[in-house]
Amino acid sequence: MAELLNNIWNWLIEPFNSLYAGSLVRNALWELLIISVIGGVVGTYIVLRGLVFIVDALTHAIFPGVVIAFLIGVDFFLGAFLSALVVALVIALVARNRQVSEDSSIGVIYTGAFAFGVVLLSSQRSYGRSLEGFLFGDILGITTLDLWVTGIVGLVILGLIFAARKELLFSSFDAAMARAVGLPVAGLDLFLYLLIAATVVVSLPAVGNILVLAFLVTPSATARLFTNRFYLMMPVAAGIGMFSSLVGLYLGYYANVAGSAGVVVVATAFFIIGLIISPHYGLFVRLHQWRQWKQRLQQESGEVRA
Amino acid sequence: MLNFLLEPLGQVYIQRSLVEMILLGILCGVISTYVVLRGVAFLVNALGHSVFPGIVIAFLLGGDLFWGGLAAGLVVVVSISLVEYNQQVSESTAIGVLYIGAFGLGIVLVSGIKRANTGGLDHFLFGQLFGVGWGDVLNTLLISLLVLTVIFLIRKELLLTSFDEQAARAMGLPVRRLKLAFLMLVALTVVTGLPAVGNILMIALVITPGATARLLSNRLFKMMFIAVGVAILASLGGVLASYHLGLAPGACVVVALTVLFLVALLFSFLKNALSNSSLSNTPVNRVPTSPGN
Repeated sequence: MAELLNNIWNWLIEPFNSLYAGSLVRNALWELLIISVIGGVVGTYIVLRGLVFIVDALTHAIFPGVVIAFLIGVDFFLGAFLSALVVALVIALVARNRQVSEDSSIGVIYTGAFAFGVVLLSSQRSYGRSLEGFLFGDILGITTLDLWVTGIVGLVILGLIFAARKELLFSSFDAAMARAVGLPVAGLDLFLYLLIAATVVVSLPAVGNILVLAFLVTPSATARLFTNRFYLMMPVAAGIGMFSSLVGLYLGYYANVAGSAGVVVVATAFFIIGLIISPHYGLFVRLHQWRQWKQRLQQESGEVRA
Repeated sequence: MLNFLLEPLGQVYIQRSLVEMILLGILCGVISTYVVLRGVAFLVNALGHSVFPGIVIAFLLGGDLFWGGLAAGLVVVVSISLVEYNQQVSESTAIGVLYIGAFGLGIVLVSGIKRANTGGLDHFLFGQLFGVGWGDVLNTLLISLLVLTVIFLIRKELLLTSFDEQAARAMGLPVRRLKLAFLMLVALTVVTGLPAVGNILMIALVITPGATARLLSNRLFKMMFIAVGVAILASLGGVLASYHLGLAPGACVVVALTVLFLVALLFSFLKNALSNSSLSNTPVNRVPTSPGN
């Protein structure tokens, strides 16, 4: 028994203690834990406001900025952030046109921006490798400096959200009322988009610009299945994200697959389980309710006949 | 100038990729018109991403990538329409979570393969337009005929459900099943374009031509012709640019499509601005709007 426990313990700590990869895996875990906390908080707003498609577009559209920064040798944070701003502005402008629906214009602009990034990158010889790095990140390439940057930017994001929490909550749930009270609703929306963009950019080196959507949205969507309370959703989402990160890293280490994609698969599995066992709207509860309803119907029709 | 246009056409691989792109342009022009009118761009985006794990599994099993992608597309279409019944998480959230999860699964599977024999992830994601063979072209031709025939047969039902779902339901049309059928046609279209432009850029091809046409016309059949024309024009421009500048061909076509959309947008802005200013000068517009006055 003791030996078995010992074996399990060794299996659990081996990825973090191994001679070659240990420090890389430790950095990866810390980075993913920090991203989970930011993602849990920011993601709660995204899920409740139904901003998933806009965030999806933002994450794809950052790509050309990253590529341009890479080609001219500037820091990628700058490129990514600037292109996120440009795309957000263009989408807002295009959405003012009433002939094409907002979701069509989002789709057009982000695929166009993404393709522009691919065109730019294809001007380099043998671009396949670097393309994969941008798109999917390099979770085992996280340095201590990256950790510090993520941590500090994360603290700033959380601090700003904390400072504006009441206004954000109000404008999220009842924009018309908030506007009537005199809150700058459009400004608050812009503020939220900027924080989302900052979260996406700071997560790029670890998880790349496509999968970052899952880190922002999936844990919060799962948390939504289990609670109706706003401020409870955030820690629940962060917890789900952290646990998925840990399991995903083990998957990456022992099954030798891409770590960040492993985390996404684990987080999605939790969401699907949540859909089935959720206490209010899950599949089981729904089936139970349906059966009860049918029984009552039969009883009542029996009474009528009697 | 003429040489600039004709020189690439002498190459057999350019001829093949142009024929492929023109076929795809016709197919996508028609499909994208309905995609834009129904406002299902996000679903299409999800579909485009989520065929990825199917392609990878088919590759691992040594099967045909086409069937793998199609199977994954159908699974996602069905599971999304199931999740729509859950009311706690909004439809767009559920779609986003499921498609990015499926995409992650694809990457996990790809990273499990030793990279030497995959030819790189970018071929799955972005296709190889200049590498399509006559077999691919024939495949595209057959699928296009199939999809367009089905659309022609259900054109009235599609039109009604696109514009007035409630009326369609009241008339007894199977609205849900029609939506499912339409999404399956979109899945088929996306999978057909895989060898040429890959799954991510196919998303642009099934949204952008229709959106551009919507800016220029209000009439369904005119929109389809404009969309097809736009798609073919962008294909020609993209392939030429790619040939002369040595850039990724599929991505060049998508950039050309987006540029055409932006031009159309500018055109419609100007047209609206002009008609608004001329309207405000007409006496009709000066009539008080509320009947009480």
